[in-house]
Amino acid sequence: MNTTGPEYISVLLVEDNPDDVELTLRVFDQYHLANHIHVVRDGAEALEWLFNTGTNDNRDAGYQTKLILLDLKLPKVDGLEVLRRCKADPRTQSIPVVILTSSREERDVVESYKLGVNSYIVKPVDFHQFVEAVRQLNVYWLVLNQGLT
Amino acid sequence: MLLKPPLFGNIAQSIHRLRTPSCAFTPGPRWTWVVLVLSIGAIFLLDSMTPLGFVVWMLYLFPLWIASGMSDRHSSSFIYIIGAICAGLMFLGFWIAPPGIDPFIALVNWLIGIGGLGLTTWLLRHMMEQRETLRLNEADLRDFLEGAAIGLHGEGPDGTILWANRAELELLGYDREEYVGHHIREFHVDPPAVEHMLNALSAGHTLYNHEVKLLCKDGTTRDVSIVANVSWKRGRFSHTRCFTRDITALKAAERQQAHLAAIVKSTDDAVISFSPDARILTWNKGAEKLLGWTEAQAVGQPKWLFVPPERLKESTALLETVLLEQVSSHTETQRLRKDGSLVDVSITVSPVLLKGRVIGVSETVRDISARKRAEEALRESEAFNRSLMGASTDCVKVLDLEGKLRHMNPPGQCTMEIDDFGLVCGREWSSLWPEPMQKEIAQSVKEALAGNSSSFEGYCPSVKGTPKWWDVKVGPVRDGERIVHILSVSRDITARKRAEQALLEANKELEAFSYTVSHDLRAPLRSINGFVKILIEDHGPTLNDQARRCLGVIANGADRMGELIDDLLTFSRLSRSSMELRAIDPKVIINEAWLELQQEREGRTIEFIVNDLPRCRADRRLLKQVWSNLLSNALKYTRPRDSARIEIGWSGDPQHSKEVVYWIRDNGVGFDQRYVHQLFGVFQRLHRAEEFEGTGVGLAIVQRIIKRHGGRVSAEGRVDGGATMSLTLERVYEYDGAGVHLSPLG
Repeated sequence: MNTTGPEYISVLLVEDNPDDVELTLRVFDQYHLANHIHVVRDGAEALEWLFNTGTNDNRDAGYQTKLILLDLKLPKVDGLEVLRRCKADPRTQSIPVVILTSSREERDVVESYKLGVNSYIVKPVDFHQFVEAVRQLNVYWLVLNQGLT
Repeated sequence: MLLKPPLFGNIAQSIHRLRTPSCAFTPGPRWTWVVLVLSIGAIFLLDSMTPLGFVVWMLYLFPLWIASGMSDRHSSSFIYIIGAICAGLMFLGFWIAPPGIDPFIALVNWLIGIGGLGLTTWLLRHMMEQRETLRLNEADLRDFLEGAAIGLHGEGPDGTILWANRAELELLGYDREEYVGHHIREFHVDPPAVEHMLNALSAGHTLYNHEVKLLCKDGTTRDVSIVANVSWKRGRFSHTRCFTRDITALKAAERQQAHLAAIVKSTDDAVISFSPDARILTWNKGAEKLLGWTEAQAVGQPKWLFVPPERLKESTALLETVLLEQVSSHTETQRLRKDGSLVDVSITVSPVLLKGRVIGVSETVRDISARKRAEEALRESEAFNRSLMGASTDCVKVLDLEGKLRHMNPPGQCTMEIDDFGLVCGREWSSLWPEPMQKEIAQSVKEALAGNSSSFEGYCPSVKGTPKWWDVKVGPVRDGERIVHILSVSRDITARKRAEQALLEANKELEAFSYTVSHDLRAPLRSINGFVKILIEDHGPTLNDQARRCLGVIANGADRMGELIDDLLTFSRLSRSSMELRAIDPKVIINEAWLELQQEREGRTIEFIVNDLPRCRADRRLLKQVWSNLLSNALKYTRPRDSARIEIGWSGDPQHSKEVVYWIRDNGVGFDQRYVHQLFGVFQRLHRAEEFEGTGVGLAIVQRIIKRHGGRVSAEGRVDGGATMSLTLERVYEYDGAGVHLSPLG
């Protein structure tokens, strides 16, 4: 099933920094996408959501996720591990994953692309740039990109 | 048989005998014939008048004729019998003498007949005896020749071998029939020599000790000396008589002697011989050269001529020993030269024996001063090596070909904490190493035995257990082509290893720090910046100007801190990122960087000149960063100019230099040359932030990158007079089929 409009979109935001969560949500809100975003605060929660292992009441939500925004530095299970698990599982491997992180470290970038990440975005310090980055990735991955299901 | 007259047989035999050597010693029975013919003539004359007389005389002559024919084949008694038969017949002749003959005449006739017969018989007998003697002599001679120890043979004028004695046949190994009757040429190694000999003999010469080589039946050759002359018969060449003496052994001895003489003559060793009373007998060239006296000067002199006085006793003792014990003796000593100098020599004194009797003494003197010098040099070099090994702080080990320890230098023993090397000597070198390293050790020993050197690093605690790291080099020690030892030099690199470890850990920590900075330090900035923006967006209208200005300052501060962090991270990453060096055309990179700076030069009048540039060896990505920073700087500091001018060029030796210096010159605000040392420091700025934005990392990055390439940077400037930045990098020349040619134009 193709994505036909923003109202059906489900985005998983994996971010431990509450400020960043708020800023990101604000951008989504500006584009009226906030209702379709699910926020988890660490890697473990992200995995639970994706693989329906925890206290998740929406049993199919994990598989219906259309986009994962993933920070790398996360408590418990780090972002690269979440990415690896996600890309290793046939049920989740086709979900686009965008790394949204502060790290410009080359090894992080290389490792992420090795694991099959779809985009790697460095969070700009400047708010306007940040807004622009989030907006663009939404447009690209949610509106323009033709997913598998 | 009677039909064949014995007389003719005799003549034929005689002719035949002429061809055999015995005839030379046997006179013919000519006298017999003279007497016989005379007596027959006389009787015939007297009896001719009687008709029967002739018949009677015929009867009387017949047995004589037979006897004369048989004479040399029958014994003398047979002759007497024949004589008696003749006498009987004669008596019968007398008795049946016809009547009418005067009895006196008959008696005289009879007496003459008897006398003639008796004389004839006696002559015959005498002749027979003589002939027998001759025959015996001839047989004796024949036997003598046959049995002679010297080879003998005779040849016909044409060179055909007529006869040969046993010694000759035995000498050459032929059977008689293989030799006699053949041409002598067949048995000569050098056939032309035969012609030469025959010619000489034909000319009447006698050959004395003519030396030729003869072929034996078994294929070997014999040296022989020939004495030959010709037997002439009535002025004609009858046959030759050749005496062949085997001189093969003599010749071999002669050759050997010649060899020995040549050796003695040509050797550099002095070979001197003495009579038993110690007078010099022979003195070779070597002796002349080594000791100075000529042969003429030395021969006849006492032995002590060339013995230094202080060695006289030693030399006498040696000579006595040799004479007494009749064995060679060898020693190293000194000898005196004619010029009075001494020379180090090795001498061998030997008795000269002839059939067990000492007939003299020989002394071979060899100059060993060069060897002595070499030994001295070797000793010095060994001492040098020892001191070198002792001075080396490395652990130097010598292993045998089985990989067992044979020697270790004292500092090495010290480092390995070996108190008594005797306990370790002879042990397998690998046994000193911990288990995991032993395989590597065995491999390196194997490599050394194959002639290769190897090196590796490994951990091996000292014998007392002090942990140590070693940089080990193993290689063969050769004597010419042969590998005689294995040398292992181990350097204690424990300190270096520890430092490396510490550095590794420090780098890791630094990396972790950078990571933290990169990730965590920027998050709060983002919050500050983001929430300030939200404040302005959501509550901007309700805030007064003062509050809005404060928020602006906060946002700017956060932005600036973000830039600083980014630049700092870039700078720290430079020293860690890997480099891929290759030939780079800088002009391409400069153009790329220039295009990326589009935004910064918008709306400005800029004269941008890039000259042709030679290639250099660099990492493409890093070099681009360099030019990007330099161009960005040039653009920034020319901003106050109405018309900016940026020029890039190069300098340096156009042909031979291994380096190339690129420069970038602008007509910007420049800088004060006094502060040039601050220009390349991190966060060092020569301008105020209000004038020109920036963190002061750009040129520090340039310097860091160029230094990593092994190059240099420099800057020149004047306040308000523009600036010139220079970079030195390794130059790359291009190659093509024709060899090296320059590519000054990049």
